[in-house]
Amino acid sequence: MRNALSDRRAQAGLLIALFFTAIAIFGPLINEHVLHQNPLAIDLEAFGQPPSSAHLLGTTSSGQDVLAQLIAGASQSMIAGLVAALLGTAIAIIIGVTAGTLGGRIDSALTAVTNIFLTLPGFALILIVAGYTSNAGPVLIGTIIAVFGWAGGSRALRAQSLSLRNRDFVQASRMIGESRIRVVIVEVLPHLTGWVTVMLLMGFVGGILSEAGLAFLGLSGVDTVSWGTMISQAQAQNALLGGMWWWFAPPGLCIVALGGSVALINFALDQSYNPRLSGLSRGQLNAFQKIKKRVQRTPKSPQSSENVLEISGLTVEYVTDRGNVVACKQVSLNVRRGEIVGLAGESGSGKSTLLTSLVRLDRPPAVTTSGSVLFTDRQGKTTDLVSQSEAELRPLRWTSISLVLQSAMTALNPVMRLGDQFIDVLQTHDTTLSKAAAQKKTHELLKNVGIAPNRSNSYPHEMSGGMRQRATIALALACDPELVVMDEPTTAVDVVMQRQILANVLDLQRKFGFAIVFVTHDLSLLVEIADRIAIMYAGKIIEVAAAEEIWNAPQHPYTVGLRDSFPPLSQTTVSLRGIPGAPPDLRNPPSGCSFHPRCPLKFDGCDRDEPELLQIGETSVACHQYEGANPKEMVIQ
Amino acid sequence: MVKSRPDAAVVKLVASHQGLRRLGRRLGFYLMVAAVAITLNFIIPRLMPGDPGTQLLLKIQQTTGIAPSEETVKNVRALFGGDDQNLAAQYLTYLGQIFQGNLGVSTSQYPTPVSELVFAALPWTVLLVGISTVLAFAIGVTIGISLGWKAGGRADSFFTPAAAILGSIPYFWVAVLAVWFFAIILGWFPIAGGYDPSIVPGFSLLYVLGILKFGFLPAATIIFSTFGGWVIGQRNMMVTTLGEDYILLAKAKGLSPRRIMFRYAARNAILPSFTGLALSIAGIVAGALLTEVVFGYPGMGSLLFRAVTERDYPVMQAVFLLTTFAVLIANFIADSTYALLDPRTREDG
Repeated sequence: MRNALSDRRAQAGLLIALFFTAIAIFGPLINEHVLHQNPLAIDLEAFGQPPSSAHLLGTTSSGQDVLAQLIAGASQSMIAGLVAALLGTAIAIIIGVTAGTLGGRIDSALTAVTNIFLTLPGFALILIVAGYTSNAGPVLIGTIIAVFGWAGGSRALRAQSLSLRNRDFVQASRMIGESRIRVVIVEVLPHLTGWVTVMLLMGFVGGILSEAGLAFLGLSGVDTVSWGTMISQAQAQNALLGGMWWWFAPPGLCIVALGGSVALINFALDQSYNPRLSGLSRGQLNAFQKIKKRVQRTPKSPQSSENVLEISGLTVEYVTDRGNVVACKQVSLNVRRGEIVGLAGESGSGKSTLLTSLVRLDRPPAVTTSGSVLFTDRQGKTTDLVSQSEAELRPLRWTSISLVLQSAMTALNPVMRLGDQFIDVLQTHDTTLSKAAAQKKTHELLKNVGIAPNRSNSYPHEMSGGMRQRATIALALACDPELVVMDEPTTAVDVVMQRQILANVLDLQRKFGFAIVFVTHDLSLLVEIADRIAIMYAGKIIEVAAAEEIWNAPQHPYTVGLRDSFPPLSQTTVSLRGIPGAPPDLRNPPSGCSFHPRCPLKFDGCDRDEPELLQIGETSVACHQYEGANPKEMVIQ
Repeated sequence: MVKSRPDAAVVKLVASHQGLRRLGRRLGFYLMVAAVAITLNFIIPRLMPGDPGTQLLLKIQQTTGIAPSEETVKNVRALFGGDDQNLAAQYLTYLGQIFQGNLGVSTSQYPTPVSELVFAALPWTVLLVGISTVLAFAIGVTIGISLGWKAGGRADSFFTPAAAILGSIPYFWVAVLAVWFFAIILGWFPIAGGYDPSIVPGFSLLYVLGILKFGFLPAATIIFSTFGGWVIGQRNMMVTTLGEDYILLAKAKGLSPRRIMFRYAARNAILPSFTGLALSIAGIVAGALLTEVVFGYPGMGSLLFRAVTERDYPVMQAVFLLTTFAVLIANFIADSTYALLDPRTREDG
């Protein structure tokens, strides 16, 4: 709400709306005491006059003052709009919330009624009703509009309260025996404020437009002045042929100004309720430009050609209008050719941000601000992915690094046949490939993961969850990549399927020799499949070691805690412990070591200095307890 | 390959079968709405103050100078009530009349049957609204796609709020301005009417050209007043779709931006716009009725306007009924298009 009101467009809208409200309230007084005009007074000596000092906006063909009519018409529009908005919203709330909260048969019946009203051409209905009740005032018109116009809002409110009904806090209140009405008032309605506001505003706009339309057709009283009647009289009395623009232009402008101002407020509110919809702000875009200029293109050479990927000093920040949040801080990690590297951490540790950054697909407002990602192909050619432009990256994508996402349901295009999603990537990277050859290759790839070739004609929704996930793995191997990045690829499937998929992946990995970066929060699973494991906490890698070392001899207190939160795979009796506390808020990270507030071993200085990654034997670890412990073995990376 | 063919065929058959079932359900719903409209058409005159039936008979007597025939009385009573039968019997008589296509006689153009007037006007409105809706949808959706693709950019931050304001401009005022500027000041288009009265109606090139010339301004008015809504809807859906995982994956695949924009993002984002199309046809028809009045276009709007000014109740009712039927058919077409475009047979669109 406050966000919306700080929007300049909303402020302009609010000012205009307030201006018209004042006109509507004080209109008669202004006409009588300021303009000294009666909007209905006919003056046959001053008919059809253009704007002058006597008549600021000219006169009608009966010599009525146009400005006085405009001022008098404001209240007509306002009242019709207000009645339509308030009454329509009230009906929508009662019916929509009742249907969504009670559910069952009542819901089905009310939804059917709502859909019928939504489909009926309401305006035609309003017209014939207004036609019978000739000379309808603004209150009656507003009422008719509300009675026939509530359905759209009701549908939205039903959907909202239905989704709220299934949320935990509403379920909980129901459990402890609160009455339904109380639950609705205390728990449901406050969450609908945004929707209700939007409905009030749009109901108001609909009300003034419908009122103007009805008045234009001559359905409001003969002796009332309204913006709609002004336009209709102007048209009927040949103002168009007579070129009397001052008569028919201003009332329309007033409708647009009032309706448009409210539509603008609604627009700003809408964007503040769905910040995702507004795209990036001006400030964010400027910050992006600056960062893009900063990225240097100095050629770098890899430490070893055995490494397919060398990440060094990679920092990713989320650019917000209130400053930047560092989600990945100075991350360095190497992946050897054909190696499986596990990346583990709690949610919010920055592992997904790191993953999207290393495949160069930062999701805005995330942006990689420094560091390099060196990719070395089989021929020994090295590219720094961070410094490449989007166009330079495109040919490298999928042929060098491919991606498997957590949920195959959302990772596959729902309206494209499975096979077409293979063929497009195959033909993009090999323009000489014929459609038939691409099809054949698709069938082979699917066979690799145990999917029958005829399935390439299926849409994603026609396949089971496990089959979809195997299909995305087959897709990842389409262009023979050297590295496959997997983001929790087995989290969305059941345990049996998880086993099958992992075995399948390991088979394929042995067969084709690609390297894997496997991201998950499940440390015990990583220990089973990975060669090396990196542990992330608060955007930093805090420990890297061989998989068995991480499990048998974790060095960092956080790794110890993480290990002890999972049941071991083969041993029987170990008591499970969680890590007390919660991951830090990255907008406001703790000083010093970010783990110190939760650390059982913290000592003086842990909250002051950030620990560096130290080499202890084969393990790299960032923890102050190892500093100076064995200086000979200490190598700062 | 040979073995796989029958399976694929079965999959297709099942899918199209589900699609048919869904369309069947929608058809059932629209029939229900039609039944509601027919019933409302029966109830409304009976709920109105005064006695419309008696007023009508009086009016007919005034116009013709003689007492209306027994048959006319029976017909008026069936449609507008006011006789001694109980409501259920009245409803049955009314349904009988409606299903025979008997909508009564016009009082303002006595004794022309209402059905004759209405069916003469209907094609004009269907043509005008049909063409302008399709064009406005195409224009709005195209602009929405490009604004959503670069959300937050300069074009987006200007045109999107502008499109929101566009939605609050009354159609009939746009029509008034269009007549004044393009027809009267510039003289590019005729001021009023739907066809050139000096050319014999028929499928001649001249007559069709005349229809296009007369229909241009009304259609342009409707397009101008409606395309903004599609811009905003499509733009927002585009932004939402661009955040989906399958877009991220399409980018990771290294596909060209054009392919991602159209085949992956727009192709998915356009689906809800078709649901929106079905829902807004009623509103567009309302605006078109008013636009017709300004242009003196010989469709349902002008017919309704004359009926309302002269309190010709039989014509008013018939316009309502037929407009409702036309809207329902249009809805069904939009729904079917949606079902064709979306392979998932969703329960609730």
